[in-house]
Amino acid sequence: MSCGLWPLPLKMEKKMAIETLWKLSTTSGPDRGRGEWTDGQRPWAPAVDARSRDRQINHYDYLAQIARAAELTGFDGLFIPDEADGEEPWIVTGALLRETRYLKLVTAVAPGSASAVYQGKMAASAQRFSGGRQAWFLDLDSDAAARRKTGDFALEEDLAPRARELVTLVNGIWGEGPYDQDGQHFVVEKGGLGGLVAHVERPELWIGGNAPGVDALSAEHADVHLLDALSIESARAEIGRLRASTGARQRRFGVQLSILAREEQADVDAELRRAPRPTGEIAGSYDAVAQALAEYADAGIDVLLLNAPDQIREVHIVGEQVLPRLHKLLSNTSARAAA
Amino acid sequence: MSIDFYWRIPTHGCSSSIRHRNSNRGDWSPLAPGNQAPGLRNGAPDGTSYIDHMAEIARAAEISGFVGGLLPSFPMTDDPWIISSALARATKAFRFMIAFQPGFLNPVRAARMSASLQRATNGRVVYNIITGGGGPAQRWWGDTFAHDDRYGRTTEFLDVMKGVWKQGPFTHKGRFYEVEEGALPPVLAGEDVPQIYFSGSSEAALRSAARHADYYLSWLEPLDQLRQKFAQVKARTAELGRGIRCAIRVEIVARPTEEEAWREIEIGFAESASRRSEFGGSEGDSVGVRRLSGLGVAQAQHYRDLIVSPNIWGGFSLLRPGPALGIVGSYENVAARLDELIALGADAFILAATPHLEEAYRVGEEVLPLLGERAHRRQAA
Repeated sequence: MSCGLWPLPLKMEKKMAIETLWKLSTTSGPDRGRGEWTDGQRPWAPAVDARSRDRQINHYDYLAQIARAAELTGFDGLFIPDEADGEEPWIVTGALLRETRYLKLVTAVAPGSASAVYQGKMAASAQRFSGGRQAWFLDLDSDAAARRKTGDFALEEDLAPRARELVTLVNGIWGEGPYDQDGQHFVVEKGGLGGLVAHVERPELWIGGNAPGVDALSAEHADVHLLDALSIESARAEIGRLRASTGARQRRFGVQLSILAREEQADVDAELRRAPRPTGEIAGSYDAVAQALAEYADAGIDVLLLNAPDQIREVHIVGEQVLPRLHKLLSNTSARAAA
Repeated sequence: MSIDFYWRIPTHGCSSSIRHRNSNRGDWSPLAPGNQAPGLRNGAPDGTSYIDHMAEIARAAEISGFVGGLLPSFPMTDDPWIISSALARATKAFRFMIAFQPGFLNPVRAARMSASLQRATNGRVVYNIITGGGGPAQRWWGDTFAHDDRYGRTTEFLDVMKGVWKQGPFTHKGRFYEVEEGALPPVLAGEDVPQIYFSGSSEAALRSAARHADYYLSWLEPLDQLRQKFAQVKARTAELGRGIRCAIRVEIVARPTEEEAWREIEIGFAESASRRSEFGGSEGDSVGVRRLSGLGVAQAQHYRDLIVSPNIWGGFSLLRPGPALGIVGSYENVAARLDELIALGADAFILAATPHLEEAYRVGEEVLPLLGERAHRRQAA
């Protein structure tokens, strides 16, 4: 079938200032199973009839609300991880495409989960339906037992080469074709997504993980290299090491951080007494947390992935209180640098 | 036994008329008179896209009384998983019948995607498992297995997918798949495995269907052939230990009168002159496709040459990609033909008509109410 081609400027404007994303947790436990209770479980809520409530309201109503909250409070994007106890990231991505208008949606993609063509195909539709807001995160984690549970028996040393084949193949079919690739892990013959991708760019590529060869793969292909939670000094050292060892190609660096921000330190202390908190969490007043994030930026971080349990409440705290302070600190810094 | 009526979502654009073979709805053609091309307003992107038109079709189908719709998957279509998840929250009752080829997804991932989608839709996922037509299209997808191997793979895929979903932690080491202690998290594992509509006409397909399918899905074929096939499928799968129901996928052109219905075909046939010679055969190894290639489409001089039996026309492939046979006629006659199909063994239908949005209303309002008692027992139950 023919596919008409005409120019459509759907390319996202690349924002080079610091980029802030909420890291969505799709497991329902930490957020009290919101949206998942049914008739009769809360005696004060009137039951209409059996199963009426759970037919109309479910966990995805809550996930959609977090996404909208992140959009309304000024986040640049939403990171959709692949949690062993959570929802499947492509389905979450699809469900949130039409619930959001501006957020970048970064989907964790497991290279061993589907053929390369199929992964490209799903990305093509997600890009088309979102106006080019989709991005991929390839997590090359070397935990072999966890991978075997997912039906993926790739050896550790094959993870980076397989991901390279995947990226190469998706780049190759992202156009009219015919494109051939005969690899160890993925093949395609006379491939090409054609009109499906005529007006959308291949998703931005994020790469992270600790498998051998990830650094070189990232240097070659990543738009964003994602680091695990690290102290500011470790982040600075890691970015320095990656830049020195893998050449000068321009890419951004991101870090995942758990945060707890409250108006005053006394409020933070009260929270810390109340319940155990994630390890490595950045905890402090709005000003102190913003200051810490600004120091990450100074250490070379371009992308912040932020998360805290009780997501609706914390998205608003971070979006309303911390991000404006952070942006102000960073613009002061760049003004000083310019002076 | 109740009859389920599904509609179809056109996943590669739609046309505003069956008379003209184009995809003038969707972003597949440039914006021009007669085209609907969502996404542009005054030349600038406006945030809409073809998914928004597919949402309209799904809503029209549920408003008109269809239980859901098939989402076909071919190289140039949008992807059914992404479409379904994107429309989960735009629909209330619509069941998403996802066409997919098992070879393209890891079965553990497929279980997770399906269970998550069950949660997002409150249990509205249905599968149309396809094992592939072979030939260049199969290699476009990056799949190099031979015909009977693909059915073996489909069977093993469904074994593993169901095992991980319902019997986790599940360990399996087979010819095509391997998993060690795979399981879904408890909230996902509690969801139901979707009903399976299964396609494929060969003995290899029937063996696989008997093990896993709920419905055996066929294109419309000449009625005697279909009666025989359904009887064979039901007998063979019963022999293999698990009886299954039968479903028919059929395109229809229904109008208030016979004349109006056939006028659509006459115009469409006349427009297809330059394409007729292409319909000689098939490059794939699909047995179903071979069954239909003997209709003489390439030699037809007049649309009437392709009338196979009353109201059954064999030239639909000329009007749009897809199977050759469809039903053409007045509302009463189309309903009568559907009644005949029920009588010869159909337990469910996937209906389609172009344009899919408006025709969902027409078929739901004008044709389905005329069907006999058997079709409507479901509503009474």
